[in-house]
Amino acid sequence: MTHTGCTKRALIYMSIRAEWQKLVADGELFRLEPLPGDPDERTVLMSPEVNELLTKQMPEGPDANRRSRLLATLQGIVAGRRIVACMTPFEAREAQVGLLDPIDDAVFDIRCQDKPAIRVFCRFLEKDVLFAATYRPRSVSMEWMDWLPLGDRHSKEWKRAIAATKRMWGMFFPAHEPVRGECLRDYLSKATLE
Amino acid sequence: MTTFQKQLLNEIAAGHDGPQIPESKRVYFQQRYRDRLFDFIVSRFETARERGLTKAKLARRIGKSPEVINRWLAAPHNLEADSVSDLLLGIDAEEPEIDAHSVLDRKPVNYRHLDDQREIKVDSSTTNTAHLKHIETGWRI
Repeated sequence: MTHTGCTKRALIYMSIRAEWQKLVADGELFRLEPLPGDPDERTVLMSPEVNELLTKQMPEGPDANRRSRLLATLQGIVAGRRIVACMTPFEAREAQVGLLDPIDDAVFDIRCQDKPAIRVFCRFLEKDVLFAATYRPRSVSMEWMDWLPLGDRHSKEWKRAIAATKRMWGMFFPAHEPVRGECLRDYLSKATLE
Repeated sequence: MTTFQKQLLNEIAAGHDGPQIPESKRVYFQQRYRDRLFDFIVSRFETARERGLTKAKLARRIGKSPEVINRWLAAPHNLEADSVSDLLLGIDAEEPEIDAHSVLDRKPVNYRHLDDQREIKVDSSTTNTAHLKHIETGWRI
């Protein structure tokens, strides 16, 4: 049997931490590095497509600026900066992290408030460990991206992005469920509710 | 420092006669600055809240509506120089100390989140969770 986590000794289970640490070590997932000198208090793991977004060569312009704000925001999460979060779908106004509908999917988006923005869709592997699965433009298309803007909160694009997040999770963590907490502190330290 | 981080700092490290610092890199540091300022203000407020400060009291002290205080303490992009001054004054009778540090040659922090907390594995010879083994001695939960 060659399933991830199984050896000749037939270990039948890997903790989710062992799983993501192995995926990072194998180069299948990417761990976002903070700017040198910043603390390292949370973990943001990126799928290949999110990693590509943050590292690809890009001409100067509005899209590159959107990408820069997103990178700084994600690195701020790694650095343990305080986060304002909203745990009620459709009610986030200023929050940087919001739980999406349906809440049973345990999918969150990470937001940059400057418009036009990019939204990153993620799930929590553990408290303070996010898996950034995919991203979409919030309201304005980007030249180098095929995806349509998310648009209205009940749009098909929102549903597709959430489905893509769950699909990506299934690819990397088929044996594990995301964190489904009862309150914000089950997901994040140093965070307050909007 | 990763290749990407080196690229990020390329033009910034080029000195006074170097090329223009691209807008996207300036935007990156603008966002960092906002986030750090927000983190600082909120941490100050949280500390003062433990000593009885509320948003309503703070609003009254600095002559703003509770809605304005809510907005300022809700997101990094809502803060400006004047609002930072008002908030620090109202939160704990403080004003900011101005200082700056180079973004170049910063040493990475040695500790990485969860690096000292390793995997747990279960031996297939048992399904009893009592047999969970901590593989590393640094386990800490």
